[in-house]
Amino acid sequence: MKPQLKISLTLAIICAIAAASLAAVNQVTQKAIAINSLKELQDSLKIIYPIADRFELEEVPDREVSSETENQDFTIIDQYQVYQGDQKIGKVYRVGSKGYGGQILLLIAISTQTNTMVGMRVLEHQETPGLGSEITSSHFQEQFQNKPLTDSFELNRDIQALSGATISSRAVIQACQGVLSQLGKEAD
Amino acid sequence: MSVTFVDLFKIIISAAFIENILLARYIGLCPYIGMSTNISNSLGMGMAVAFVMVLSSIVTWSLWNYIFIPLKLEYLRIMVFILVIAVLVQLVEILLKKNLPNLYRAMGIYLPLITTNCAILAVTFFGVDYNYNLLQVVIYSISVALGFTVATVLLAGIREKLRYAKVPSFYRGYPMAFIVTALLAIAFIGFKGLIK
Amino acid sequence: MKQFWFYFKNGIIGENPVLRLMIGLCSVLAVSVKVENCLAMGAAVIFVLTCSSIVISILRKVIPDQVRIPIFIVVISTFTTIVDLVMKAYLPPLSKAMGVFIPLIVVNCIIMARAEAFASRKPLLPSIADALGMGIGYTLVITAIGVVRELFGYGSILSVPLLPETYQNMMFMILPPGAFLLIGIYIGVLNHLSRRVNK
Repeated sequence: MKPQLKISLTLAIICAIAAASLAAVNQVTQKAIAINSLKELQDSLKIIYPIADRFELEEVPDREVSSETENQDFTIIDQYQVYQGDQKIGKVYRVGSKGYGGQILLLIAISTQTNTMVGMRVLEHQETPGLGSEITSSHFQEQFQNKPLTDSFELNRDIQALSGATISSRAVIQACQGVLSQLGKEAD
Repeated sequence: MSVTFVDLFKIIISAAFIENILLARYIGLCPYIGMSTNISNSLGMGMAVAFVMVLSSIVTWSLWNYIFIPLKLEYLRIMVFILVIAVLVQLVEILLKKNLPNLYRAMGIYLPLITTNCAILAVTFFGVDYNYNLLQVVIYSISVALGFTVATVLLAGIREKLRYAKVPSFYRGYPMAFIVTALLAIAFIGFKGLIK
Repeated sequence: MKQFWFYFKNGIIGENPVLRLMIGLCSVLAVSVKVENCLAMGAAVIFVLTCSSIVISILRKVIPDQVRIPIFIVVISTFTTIVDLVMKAYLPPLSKAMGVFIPLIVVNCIIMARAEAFASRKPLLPSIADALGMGIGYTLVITAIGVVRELFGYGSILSVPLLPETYQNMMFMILPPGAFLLIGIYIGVLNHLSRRVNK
């Protein structure tokens, strides 16, 4: 057998075995991986809106995403309709907001019944440990619980910024304001 | 999705300085520590890395968006991306040897070493994970390579001078290199907040 | 048997991959912020290293020399992908914490270097010994760094708080500079100790 042929054949066989075993492992783990990300989201939704029975992904075809905003400081990733029984009681928006160290992923829950912000929860962030990372702390997130939507949502007015983390705090505010403006658009 | 010049500028600054791949993300350390013994080595490696990084980012991005996703082959990503890099490095070596023998000789040992440079593989992953378009991928990979080269040359410059300094015997060489890197890392933290 | 023990010990001390051979550095510093991450990473590296060494050693007479690097890459990346998928499926928080460094195991110089220098030339049993030794040597170093970083950076070890509540977290240890400083010191200390022993 010509040496080049032998080389190519060996390479091909090993690659084939490798690809096949990976395909097998992929099959086995795929379900678990999908369930994990779904579960993670469901858990967060439940935490932010404890009185809800279920959440449904909402399709908003003419929602302007980042192409409308001048920069990608704020994006709406998806939004969920909140149900209690059969009644729509509010919405939860999953948004990204540009922070100090990168994008901050948050959930913002609105109650359409009481016209308040039910709460805010940070899912992922890359803020500075000890400073900006405090946006996940309960004492910061408390400020957003059951907050009337008519409030101004301004730093150091009705929301206390974190000491040493103005930019991180501002990113959260920006997310809230973005959601409020989106709510306004949807109401029309 | 329109990409403005400002967006690209932000990518350049954050990839090269604020989130410097070596000093802020710990990626690419082996060649960094190994090759930063003098400035000319570092520059040579920087160029080689930049070349391969940009090329492989473009190729892997294209493969990902036009083949992997449509065919749902995401799980083969690790294997294919690193093979692409290895093949590109081989190709570059062959092409250089034939067409630009002087440059090939100047680059010498750096070329084969590049395959195991974690930074290149990492950048190919980031290029697709960050949902960049092709232009952004190119700008991003060039910027990362720039940051990599700057950090390496900085360390090399200091290490050249260190050779004549009175360093305690057991800290001479690599330990000192790491300690200096720690100082460089602190300095680079100062870049944070450059972009609001 | 004696040979097995020799190669095993060599990986841990004599030629410790991180502190002596200076390979595998990226993951050591990036992942070592919490001890549990270090142990997970160590386990992943030991798995990929050992499995790859076994396969490469078994196939060493069959692998043609010209394409040996691509074949090493295919083998190593297969096991790396397996670790990545399994972790994403059954250990999601850990997988998230380690981020890109699990896939980066494929370019962890340790595995490539040992495949080239050892597994492709030596029979099965010594290859296993070398892989295990190197893997454990790596795990010991990364955990040694992790213990210091987590203790001073978060006041805990394995998420068990050890320092009083009033302790202000030393941010320096969590951020890159602290990591670089620590490993520089560790290498220096090892140099010092080994010089003492050799005298």
